[in-house]
Amino acid sequence: MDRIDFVPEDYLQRKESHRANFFYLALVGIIAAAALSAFGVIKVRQKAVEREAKAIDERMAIVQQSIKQIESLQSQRQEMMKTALLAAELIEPVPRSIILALLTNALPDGVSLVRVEIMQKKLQQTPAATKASNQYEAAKIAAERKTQNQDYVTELEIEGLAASDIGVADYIASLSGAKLLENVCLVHSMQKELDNISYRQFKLTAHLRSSPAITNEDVDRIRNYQPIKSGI
Amino acid sequence: MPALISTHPKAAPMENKVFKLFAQNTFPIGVEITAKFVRMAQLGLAGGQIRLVAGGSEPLPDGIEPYSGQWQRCAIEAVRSIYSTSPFKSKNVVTVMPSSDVFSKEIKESLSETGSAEIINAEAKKLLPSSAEGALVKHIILNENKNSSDEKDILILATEKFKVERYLAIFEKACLNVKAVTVWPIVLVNCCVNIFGRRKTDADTVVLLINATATDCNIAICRQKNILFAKVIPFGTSALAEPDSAEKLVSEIEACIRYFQTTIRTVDIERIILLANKEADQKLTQCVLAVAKKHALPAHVGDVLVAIANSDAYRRGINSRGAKDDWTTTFGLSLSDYSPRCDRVATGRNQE
Repeated sequence: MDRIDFVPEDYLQRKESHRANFFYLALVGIIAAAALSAFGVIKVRQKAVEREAKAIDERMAIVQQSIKQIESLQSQRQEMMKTALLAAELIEPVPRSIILALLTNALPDGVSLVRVEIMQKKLQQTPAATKASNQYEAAKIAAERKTQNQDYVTELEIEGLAASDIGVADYIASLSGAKLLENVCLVHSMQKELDNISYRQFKLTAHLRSSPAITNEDVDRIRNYQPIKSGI
Repeated sequence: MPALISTHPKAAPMENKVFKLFAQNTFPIGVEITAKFVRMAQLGLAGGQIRLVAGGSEPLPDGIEPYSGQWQRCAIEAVRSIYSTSPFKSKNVVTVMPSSDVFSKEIKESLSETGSAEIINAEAKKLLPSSAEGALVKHIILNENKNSSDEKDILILATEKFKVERYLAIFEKACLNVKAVTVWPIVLVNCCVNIFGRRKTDADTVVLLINATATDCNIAICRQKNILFAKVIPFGTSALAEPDSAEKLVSEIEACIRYFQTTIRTVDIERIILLANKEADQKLTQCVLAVAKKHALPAHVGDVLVAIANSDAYRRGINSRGAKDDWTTTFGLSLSDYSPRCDRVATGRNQE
């Protein structure tokens, strides 16, 4: 059977074109909506990132302030430490009476002291020729040098008279064995006549140990020293 | 070479199921708009049987000039109202041009590839009252089983474009999609083939179909989908109340039968079907019975509302009890795209 359809061709074409136009418009609308939504999402994310960055900046500022405070506290601490060290070094680690007692107690027979001088000297150390590979090491070495240069040492200059060099040698030996002293050296020993009696005039140097480990017993022993009587 | 189509015995039911899944179970909405009423119906398939999906009818107000702007507005409102109140399942519609708006003429020509269009257009020019510029011309080749060398009976159908556009505008305003605008012979044959001629024995039966409106009586003779004859008698049911009108109608129908018998001598009419509501004017039924008696032919009243099984027609928008509306055209329009399998047994209940 023939299909009879009176719908005009131009009507069908117009409808087709309307449908196509609608389809394309819908497609354009969808694409535009997608682009707008993507733009919106990007904007929202951008704002979120900006907020996060702002928060991080604020936190950074707070942390920087606290770092500055810590640095200032550390520098204060260093200053205080320096002062404390200086104070500790100025305070005599061992009382002079103990030192004099030690020097006197160590005198062998026929040896006497003429002059004793106790003085503090700065210990000048030659820095090691190390090359810093980076800034951190350079700063470290510089800090070490600064601390090293500020070391002090207590030096004793002892002058006395002895009947012979044997007495001088005994004195040096007894001083060298003492806990408080180190680096006992003979500077000179020469002949001197006094009232037609010849003596040996000598000069010794010694360093007081930087951290003498003496106990109360040692102090008591030094104070209550009883010389051994040879009976001569 | 392996077979492309599966020959496994279990494959066929599976394929059927797959095809059923994608098959369209509802047909387009058939819409009939006349000067007096708007009628819409949508049929569908359920369990392999044709069922009513939705329908509705609304009269147009009296006192308005048919096909005027006011009539058009009323028609749009009626279409919208019916569509919104009944459970229609698509927006595709198929409508029909009223037989009064379609000019028809039967000619005998041996059609060739090149000259057939000129011949048909020349004949259509003679039919139309105005110029053929804005005319839409279609043709149906009657009795297509004839040899190609013979002269063919051609039914030329022509209508004016603005009349078609008037209907298209109504559907556009009602937000419906016009799938086709067809003509009455096609609609009658659709009804006959799909509702009243689905038995195997109906395949070769030549049937005289009669469908009367208030103003016209449409006559079609067909063998299944092959239209053999079609004619509009300008004598409708409204004219039957006048004295001697029944005799006039009978004589017109007989003239058609005689013309058919003289022009196409190879086949005889075997059955008459009056496509009408069973509650319709009894005078029309008497006229048809008189014709059948004279020619010794069996006659049936083909009521589509009875033939299409509907237990819930009222719920679907059609009041079938006591109503005298003729739903032949709307049902036939809805069945425009449906082509049933020829071995299917009719489920309709034809009334004798």
